[in-house]
Amino acid sequence: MTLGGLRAVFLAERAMLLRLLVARLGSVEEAEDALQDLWLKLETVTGGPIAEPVGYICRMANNIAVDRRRRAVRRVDRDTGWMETQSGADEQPDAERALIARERLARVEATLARLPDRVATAFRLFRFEDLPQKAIAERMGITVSGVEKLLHRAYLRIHVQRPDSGADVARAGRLPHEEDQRDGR
Amino acid sequence: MVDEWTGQTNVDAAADEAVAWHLRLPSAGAEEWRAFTDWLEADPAHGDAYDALARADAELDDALTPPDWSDTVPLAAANDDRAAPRRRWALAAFGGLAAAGIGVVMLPLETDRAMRIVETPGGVRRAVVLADGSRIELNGGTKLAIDDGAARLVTLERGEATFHVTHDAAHPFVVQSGTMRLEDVGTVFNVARVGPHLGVQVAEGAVMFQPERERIMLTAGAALSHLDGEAPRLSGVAVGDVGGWRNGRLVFQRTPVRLVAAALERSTGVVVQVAPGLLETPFTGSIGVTGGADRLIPRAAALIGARAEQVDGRWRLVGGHAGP
Repeated sequence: MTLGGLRAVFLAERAMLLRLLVARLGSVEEAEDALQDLWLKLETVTGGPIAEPVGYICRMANNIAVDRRRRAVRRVDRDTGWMETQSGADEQPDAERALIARERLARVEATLARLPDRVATAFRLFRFEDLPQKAIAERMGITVSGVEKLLHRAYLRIHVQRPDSGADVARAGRLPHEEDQRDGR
Repeated sequence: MVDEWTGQTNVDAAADEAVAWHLRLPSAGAEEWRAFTDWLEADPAHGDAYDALARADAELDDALTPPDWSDTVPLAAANDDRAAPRRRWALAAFGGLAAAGIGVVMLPLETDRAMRIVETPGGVRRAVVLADGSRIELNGGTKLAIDDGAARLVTLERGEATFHVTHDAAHPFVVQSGTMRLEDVGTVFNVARVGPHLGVQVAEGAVMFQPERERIMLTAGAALSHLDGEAPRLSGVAVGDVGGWRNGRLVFQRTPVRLVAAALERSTGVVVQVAPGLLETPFTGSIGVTGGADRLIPRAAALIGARAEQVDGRWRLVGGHAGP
């Protein structure tokens, strides 16, 4: 699909995309901003046929919404004080997030270990290997709706029934500053 | 809803529906997206439940693709649009199973368990978690065949990976590359394959090189360099430098420039050739992988004491001021 093609789809579906973004972001103003991001983002779409262009653009819009919401939540976290004591907070989040992410992954693994093998396998294939549900179904020898059921259970346990919903955010040390160095000269 | 393992009934309806939507959206068409929007608008609790779920799930991406990699990730893998390119790439890896039979014939397929092929294009890194909890971080330009059955066997066909192995004495973890084998003794180690060259560096614990033959025990801080057909060479490495590519830092100790170029290729996805006179020149130092290839490669060339020339989108390292 060409850039022109995607833009035509965007323009045809603009009202619906705006509705989706307003529903996701909670404000018309922010939704308009996100829509602008989306328009610019279309330029970065590289080749390859897109079977379902409307679904594709909606997915892009939703991904933009997820990013914006994550940034907004992080801002709130900062404003409510847990990072206030640290200088250079603007540079901190990456190191901080990397550590949180690793911890999160460890917790996910621990949760998976307690789930039935098939549930854990479906989740790993879907989330860690990015296989579509259809491919997982073939791999596991079950139906696509069977895969969806397994994933549904995994998601509920991992993301919804978390006993510790991010309250115990760990502190990361600043990563060593990475610079070029030349030894022995 | 009743959870069948614990009998808990603490999942509210909105969260349950949010999960169903979240799983359906990657393959949703126009109608389903409309229905999803209707659902979001129907009740603020729906939006909140979906938002919390989507953010929690996105957090996992940080673990699978750490944020400090974003500089070197080409546009096609930029995370705003991750669903499409990453899935296409996963599909390619899956479709590659049949073709990969050629590359992995040395691995017996005694069960119906399919070999997993995991491949990264240049400049794109990712992590894979095995069934036993072991974790493998793949540098760009890397191809692994994983059999996480009883044998715990991973074949590094090309490229570079850091292994965080969950030790299990009864089921040793084996990394095979070319005809060389490594067996873990509970460890974190990095393995790189560039054509006939195999490099191994150990950060934690120990790993056995060629357990059936030379039986060389490599402990934390040990580095081994092996060229097909020759005897392995041992040296040392600062533990913190093992797998430095994961933090965007490439560290070299008397490393031939051709291997430095291969490391730059893996990190950037850009082809880096080396003038013949420079291939074996040893380089000691570290290179921060930041910014685009256009800035990085000339900077790296200067550190090496060479010059970088760009021809037809390929970079070439040639002798510096003093000639090759």
